[in-house]
Amino acid sequence: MAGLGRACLLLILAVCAYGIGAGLYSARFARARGERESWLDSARRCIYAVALLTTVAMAVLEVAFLRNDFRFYTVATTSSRTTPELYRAAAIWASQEGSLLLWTWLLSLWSSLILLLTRRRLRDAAPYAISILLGLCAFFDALMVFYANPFNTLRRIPAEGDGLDPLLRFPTMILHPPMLYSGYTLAMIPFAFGAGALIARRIDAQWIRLIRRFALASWLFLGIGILLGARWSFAELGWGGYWGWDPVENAALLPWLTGTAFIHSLMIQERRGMLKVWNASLVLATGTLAVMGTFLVRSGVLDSIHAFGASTLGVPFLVLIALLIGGSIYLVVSRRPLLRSEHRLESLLSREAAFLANNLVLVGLGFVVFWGTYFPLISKVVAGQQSSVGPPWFDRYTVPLALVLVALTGLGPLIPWRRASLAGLRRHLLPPLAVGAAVGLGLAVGGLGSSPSAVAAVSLCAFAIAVTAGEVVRGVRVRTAVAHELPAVALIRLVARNRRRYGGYLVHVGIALLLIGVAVSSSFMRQQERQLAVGQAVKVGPYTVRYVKPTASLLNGPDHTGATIDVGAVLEVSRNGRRQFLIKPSEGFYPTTEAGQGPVSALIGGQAVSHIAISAGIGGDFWSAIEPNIHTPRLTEILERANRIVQPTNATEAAVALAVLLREYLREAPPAQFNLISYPFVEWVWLGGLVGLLGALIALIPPPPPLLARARAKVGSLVGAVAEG
Amino acid sequence: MARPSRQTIRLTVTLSLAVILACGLIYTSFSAANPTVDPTTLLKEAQPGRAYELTGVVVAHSVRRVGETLTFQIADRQGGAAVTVDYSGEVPDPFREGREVIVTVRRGPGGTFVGERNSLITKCPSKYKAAPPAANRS
Amino acid sequence: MEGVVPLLALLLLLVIAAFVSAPVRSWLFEGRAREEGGERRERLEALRAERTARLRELADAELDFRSGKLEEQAFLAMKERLGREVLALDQALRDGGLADLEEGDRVAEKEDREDDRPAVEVSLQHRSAAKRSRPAADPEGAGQA
Repeated sequence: MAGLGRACLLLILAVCAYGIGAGLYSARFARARGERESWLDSARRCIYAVALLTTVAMAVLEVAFLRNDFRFYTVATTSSRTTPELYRAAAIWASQEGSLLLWTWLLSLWSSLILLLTRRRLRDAAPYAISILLGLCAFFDALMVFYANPFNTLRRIPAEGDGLDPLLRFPTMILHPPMLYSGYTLAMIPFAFGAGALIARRIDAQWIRLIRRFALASWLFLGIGILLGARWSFAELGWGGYWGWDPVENAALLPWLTGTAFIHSLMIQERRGMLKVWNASLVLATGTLAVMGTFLVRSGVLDSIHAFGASTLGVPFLVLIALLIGGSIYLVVSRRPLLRSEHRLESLLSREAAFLANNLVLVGLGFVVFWGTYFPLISKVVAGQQSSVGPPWFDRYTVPLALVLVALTGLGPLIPWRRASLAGLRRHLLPPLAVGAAVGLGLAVGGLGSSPSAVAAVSLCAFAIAVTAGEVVRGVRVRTAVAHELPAVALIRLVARNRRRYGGYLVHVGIALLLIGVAVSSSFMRQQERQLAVGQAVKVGPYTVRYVKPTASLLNGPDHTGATIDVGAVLEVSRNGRRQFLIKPSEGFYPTTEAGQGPVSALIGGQAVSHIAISAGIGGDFWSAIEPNIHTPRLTEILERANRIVQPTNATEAAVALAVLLREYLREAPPAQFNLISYPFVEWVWLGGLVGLLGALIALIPPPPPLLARARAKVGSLVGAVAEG
Repeated sequence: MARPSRQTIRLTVTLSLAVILACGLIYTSFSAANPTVDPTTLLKEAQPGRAYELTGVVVAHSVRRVGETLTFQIADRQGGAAVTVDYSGEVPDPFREGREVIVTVRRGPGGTFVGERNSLITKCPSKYKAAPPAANRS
Repeated sequence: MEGVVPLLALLLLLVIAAFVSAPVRSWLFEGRAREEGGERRERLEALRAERTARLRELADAELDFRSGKLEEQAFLAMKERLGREVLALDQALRDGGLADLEEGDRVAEKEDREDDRPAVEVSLQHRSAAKRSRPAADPEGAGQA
């Protein structure tokens, strides 16, 4: 079946080449209208064909993973018989090859979707857009064919695979790559149609309407991917944080920031015909940044927890990025007459001005993140010495910019389009300002004044939330007054008829809640890293933590991730002398296929992974990790004796030996290293993220299909007739 | 000369502000950055009080924990000079001998280097492995 | 199983080649395109999109006015301007042959209006509806005595 997969990859290249030719012929050379339509239709079908071929290729590889077919090199290196089935299914995107296939597959699916939705529209831009999308598919496919083929097979088939990296055996990591790649590939749709519209010199309201949805969808998926990655970092990695300004984290944040700016400024173009150059630049930049983000992880060009040394993919990616940047600049500059603004900014006290300010802040944030992320490369070129900046540098610039952004989030909804009246603005601004000020004062008086930036952040977020609440209340009041509906009905209808506006407001609330979580958790977390013996206690913030007893299990770890043994502790957490809860961190030890280890050591000599224990609550989390010591002289002696006695193929003997080891550990547990963190308000980060994503979903809901609209109209007229009769 | 329009004035002010902020950002990045070095370079050029991002491979049999402090040696990727680091703080799960690490260090007493708290990063091990040797490829 | 793979690959190749080339073959051998009337449809779609954008703008302005954010004078001026633009687009749609479009397209226009109906009914809608409900002059009827 590997042959079928390889055939699919080659077919994709051929179809892409034909499709690009068909699209360009349709746009540039076909004379008669019918001929143009035919070649365009043929090019469109190539996208559908690529979607089919990549689906077949994914299916072949997925079946290989599920059947433990270690003939496939990818399967042998990222899966094993002991890897749980769910993680085996997701292991397809744990490898370079599999993740390239995933990218191509998702790009072809989203491209197929937009072509289905734009079947009769954007005919001028479509040929170029299709050619660009096919070009991107061809690029990623070529990487697979020539550099990293997911269907490489082995002559000497191993009896067992290396297994999925235990760090990746975590629920959110099943979804994180597909969500993130969906975000990246969805960003290529507005890119392709933006470039296509510029090439065809045709930008109109129809283009805006279609592109807006895909830009918002990209934003949504990138947001989900970033949130899942942060959750993985918090709940799986042993460092206790959710964001470390790592280059790969930043790579996903960059297109999200420019995408946020684009979604807002597009509204200005839609209404006032302004900021066309800005929007064209943003949509092209977002797509380029999506490819650069992919490049960052694949190429190993930057040192990061995720970057794995130089790979051969760096050069092809650089060529593509150079093409995208050069092409984008050329298009924007050469089409400037087409992008002239139809109107000017009438007043600084207008929603246009607020959106513009928000755009500047978002792009500013993007610049800071971009500069800090790529600084090692920049410094090498400029100063001849590679240097890097750390989280404190990022925080120094992103925190004030984020505060300004939150303030604008609150101000924007209060200001109408074109021009606001000062009296009206004052009337609507004072109550939420009072709320924000009261919250700030309360925090300062309540003893949290030690962190002015946290107080400022929470106050501004409270202001923004109060503004949104006020908007909803005003809208419901208007509707109940005019349409005489009950408030609950009025609220539902208000949101249903203004999904973009109120979905956007919900996003604002979500972001405000998230920033409250970030501000409070990062400013007031209390951490202790201590070595504790059984019975010993340590103070962490307001809590006292006591090591009650050790725990150990064989082949039955709490997380069911395939760890051979799981060694941990029971901790009792109290506050003011009263027990609050018990918490059970542990560390899982996984098998290895590296040579030179004894038969028993090989079962636990692989990756060791912390199984974080978290006691979560809306007021805060208590986070704990353990690094048990299973290499004491006594335990080492038991292990070495087991390695000498146990037969390599005798699983039962090995299990007995490990049981003896664990029993000895429990009998006389050595002191263990603990990392303990009291994290106030950190759940607000996840809650805020979810609320924001829900808002984006509401804004994305399309209008009802014609059948439903017809049915509604019929019911409406029936009701009217009955009422009259 | 015609008076510049309000639009032009706003654009000029905004651009000027952006340029000033960007210059500030660029300047502080160069002054706040830590040079990235390998052990050989670190041993040759390390100045007291200056922080460096040390990258390399953890030397086999060099990892020892004494109380809260983890001591280990980092060598160049290609082998060669090794640097002893005394580190306190979070130790990432993938950390072990033979893995590539990045840690922020300053010169300490007696020829060792002290790792900045919680600055140790371990690269995920061979997530993207090299293709199988041609002899084993079918 | 492995022997089947070349056959499967060949089958895929044939199916895809047939699928992808179908429109071009239709043009070359039958002299017609599968998708006709596309340009006219696209023009109408573009007009509808413009109209939807104006209606949404009007809906937002009304909500802003009723919530006290927009002054009456500014709202009325905006309503007047947008109303003129929507009526002009309505006329362009009629001139573009909206009357003889398929049922699905007419409903699609209604679906746009559904999406953009403001929080409260806009008087513009009633004005347009009133205009449309006035019986149009019947050119054939006028000839009958």
